[in-house]
Amino acid sequence: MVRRILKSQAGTSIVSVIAAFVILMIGISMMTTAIMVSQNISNNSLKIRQLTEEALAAYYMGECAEESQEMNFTIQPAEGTQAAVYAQFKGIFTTYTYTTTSGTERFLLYHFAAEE
Amino acid sequence: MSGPKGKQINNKGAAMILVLCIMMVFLALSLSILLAASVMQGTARKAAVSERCKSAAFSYSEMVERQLVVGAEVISSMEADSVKSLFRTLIVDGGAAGVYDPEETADVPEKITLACGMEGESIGQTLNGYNIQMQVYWEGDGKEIENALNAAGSDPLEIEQAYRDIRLYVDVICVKASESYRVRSEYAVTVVGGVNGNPEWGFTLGGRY
Repeated sequence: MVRRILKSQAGTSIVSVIAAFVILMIGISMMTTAIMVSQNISNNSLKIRQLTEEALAAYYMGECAEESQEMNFTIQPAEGTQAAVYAQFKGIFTTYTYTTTSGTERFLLYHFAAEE
Repeated sequence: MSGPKGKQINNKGAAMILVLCIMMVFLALSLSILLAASVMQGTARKAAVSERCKSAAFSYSEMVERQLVVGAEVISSMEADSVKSLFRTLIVDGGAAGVYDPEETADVPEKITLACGMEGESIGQTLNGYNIQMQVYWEGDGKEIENALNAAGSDPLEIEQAYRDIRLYVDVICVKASESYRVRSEYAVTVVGGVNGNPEWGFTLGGRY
C-alpha cells in the first residue's frame, strides 16, 4: 500500500507547478524590492544634486549664512624636504552655510581670504 | 510522456529549469538597476565634494597671491617668515637644478610639495577632511641661469640676480578622499637692483587656471 502510494505519480505536476510559481514569486518580489531601493537611491542622488546647485547659487548671490574667523596660516615644505623654511601669515577663514527652506539639509562651503 | 513513436521523453524538471532561468534574468536586472542607481548617487556626492574643493582651492590661491604680489621688496626688508621670503629661499636654494627648462627637456619638473596649516593643525583637521597642499616649481632658461651662477661665484647679489625673469608656478590642491581640485597660478619673478647688496624681489601674477 505504502509502496504503491510512493510509486504513484498522481499530483506531481501540480506540486511542481506550485514550486515553480513560488520561486517565480520570490524572483518577482526580489526585482520589485531592487526597483524600489534603486528608486530611493536615485531620488537621493537627485536631492544631493539639487542641494549642491541651490547652495552654489545662494553662495554666488551672497545668500548663505557666513561665519568668519581670523586664523594663523602656515606654509612649509612637506616632511623630509627643507623643513627649516616656512611662512606664516594671518588670513580670514569663512564657512558659508546654505540651509534648505525645510531646514533639513545643509551644505557647507569653505572660503579663504587675505586680511584687509 | 510519450513521443510520436512511443519513445519516452523525460520532461521532468523542465518547468523548474525555465523558472530558474527567469530568476537569473530577474537577478541580473535587479543588480544592474541597483548598480546604476548607486553610480548615480556616487557621482552626485563627488560633484558636491568637487564644488567644495574648487571653492576652497580658488580662494586659498587668491589668498596666497595677496601675500606674494605686494610689490617688489628688498631682501633686507622682507619678513623672514613671509610667503615671499619662503618662495625666494626655495628658488635660490634650488640652484640651477631646481629650474625646469622647457627648451632642454620635456620631463615633468620635480615639484616641491608644501603643507598648509591653520592654527597649528593641518587644514584637513579643521575642514572635515578637506585638506589643502601646494606644489611649486619654476621655469626658466636653465643654461642661462647656470652660466649666471657660474659667473656669480660666491657673490650673493649676483646669485640672486641669476634668477631674474623666471616664472613661478604655484598649484593649490584641495583634496578630500579620492576627489581633488587643482588651481594653478603663474607668477613672473623679477629680481632687480642691488643697492647695498640688496636686490628687490617681485612677483607678478601672470594668470590663474
